[in-house]
Amino acid sequence: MSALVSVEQVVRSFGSVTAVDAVSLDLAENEFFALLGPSGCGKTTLLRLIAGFEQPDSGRILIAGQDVTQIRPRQRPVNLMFQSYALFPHMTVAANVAYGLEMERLPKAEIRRRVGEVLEIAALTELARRKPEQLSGGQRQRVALARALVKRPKVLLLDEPLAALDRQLREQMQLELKRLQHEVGITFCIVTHDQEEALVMADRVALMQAGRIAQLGPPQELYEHPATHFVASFIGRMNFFEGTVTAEGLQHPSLGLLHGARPPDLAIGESASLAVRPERLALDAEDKANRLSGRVQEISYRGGDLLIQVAVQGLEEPLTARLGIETLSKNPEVGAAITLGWSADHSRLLSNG
Amino acid sequence: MARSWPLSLHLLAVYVFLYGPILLLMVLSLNESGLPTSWSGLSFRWYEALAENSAIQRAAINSLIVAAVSTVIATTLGTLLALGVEQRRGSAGLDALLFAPMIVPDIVLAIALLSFYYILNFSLGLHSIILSHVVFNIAFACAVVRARLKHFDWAMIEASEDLGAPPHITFFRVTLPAILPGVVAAALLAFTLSIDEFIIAFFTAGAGQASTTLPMQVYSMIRFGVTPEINALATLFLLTSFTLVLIAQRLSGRRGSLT
Repeated sequence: MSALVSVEQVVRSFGSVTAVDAVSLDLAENEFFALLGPSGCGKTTLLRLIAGFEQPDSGRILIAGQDVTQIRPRQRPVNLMFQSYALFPHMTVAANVAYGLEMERLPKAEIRRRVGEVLEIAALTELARRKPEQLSGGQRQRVALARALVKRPKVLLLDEPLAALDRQLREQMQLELKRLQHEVGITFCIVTHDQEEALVMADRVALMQAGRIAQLGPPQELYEHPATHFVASFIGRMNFFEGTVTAEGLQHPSLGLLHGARPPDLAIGESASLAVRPERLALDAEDKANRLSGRVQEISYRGGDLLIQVAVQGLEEPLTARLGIETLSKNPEVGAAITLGWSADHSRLLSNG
Repeated sequence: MARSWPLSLHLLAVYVFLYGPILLLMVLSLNESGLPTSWSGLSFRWYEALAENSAIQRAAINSLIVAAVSTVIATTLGTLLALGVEQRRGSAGLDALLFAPMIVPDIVLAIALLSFYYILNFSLGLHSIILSHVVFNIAFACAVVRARLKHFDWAMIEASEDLGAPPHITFFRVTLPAILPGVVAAALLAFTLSIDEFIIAFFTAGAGQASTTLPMQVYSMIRFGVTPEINALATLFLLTSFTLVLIAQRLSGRRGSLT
């Protein structure tokens, strides 16, 4: 797999704040990549470094094998879709989309043909003569997308493309974007703070924390095998137990031994956390290695499953379990005593460092 | 929702107070006798007299030259200044300095400019009036364009660059069209402020008829009483300003609200 974009040891600081701290990553041909993280983690700065709107203090950026670190944004074979969309308000939809091709001084006929094609793909043909102010949020988003795509960039960079849309439209556009990426065969690199969005759309996700990449990999890997406590808590819901590492798992000060495989980077006796996903907890599981009893504190019905909070003696936070409706013979009740278990395979031991 | 009648009466009184004198002036300019006390029939003779008065015509041309040239210079510089200041997130001190020429009394500015020209040994005439009008008009033009820029999405400039446009193309195809209603409004305001400005023009005109502007000419005529000719002149002035304002509204209406 040859890298289409290579970010090599890039550093970018603003005053005393290091927004991007010696980050290296590769984007492959034709992949959907997500830069995920809480606000202020440096993901947007990293995107703007690739686009060329920020200059690295050190390190370099290669696109298709060419060092573009010193090259202006307008000469890079990438296009950026802005969070505000930044549509030109005095131009029609078609003129907005044609703008980038006019800058390439292409013949008029070709511009018309390519604008027509892209408007077709983005389902904007009917709206070609409208001004941005006459469009809905979702339509504006598609115009911004079409305007960037018509340039046929090697990489399309998207800065929080769905943040301005309401929830229902956002879910629809997640699938739409993924379909579009398949159709045009261009590498998409999206910035988002929404972990669900990243998991749904991306082939690979880089989760960032304080200017560094906390973990990079396919969504399933980040979800099932989080590398750090931060990754485990940022992606999805997670139950944590704090204790010290033993040969069989984690020794909890009040719950005793919790079973789980010890990763090689954790030494016996070290303080660490054991994490387990709510959906890995099962009711009355006598065959499971780990079993905890408590009282049901809260039940929320979520369609296909129940989310229950269980208060356990010796734990500050209640335990969260997600139970599938079809696995329950009868629904648990608030206040009832309950035993939850999980197998050692589903325990993740994480360093607290 | 019925409006209470005292409020309606109050509204009417305000409108009469505002527009009564102006309407009266327009009517009097059409009075054959020229006397404010007696109506002797509709006539355009005072407009004809105006057309034959070469001193007024020359003053009017001077005023148009001053207003046009100072508007073009002040609007250009004011717009660029506004772009620069808004992009750089200025300080309170910088803002105060930009507003100062709008607040400084005209008489102070007039004396200051005259002293300044005198020290520099700068000759006085139409060019010195133009320069003086540019001084205060930059501040007004800048303020109007800055108000427009509050709703400007600066990401558009980056988007234009991202799509392959060099800076000058971005300015003429994206930035300027997006803020054009503000620039037109700034130019109209500058033109209006300049064309009837008296004190600063009076101080910085120097001696002689050659650099007399319209307000200065009217002032010298009015010392012998209000003549019907001046009523006619004022009416023409009023119609011109109304037309300009209408054009401005049409222009900004067609551009739409570019928020």
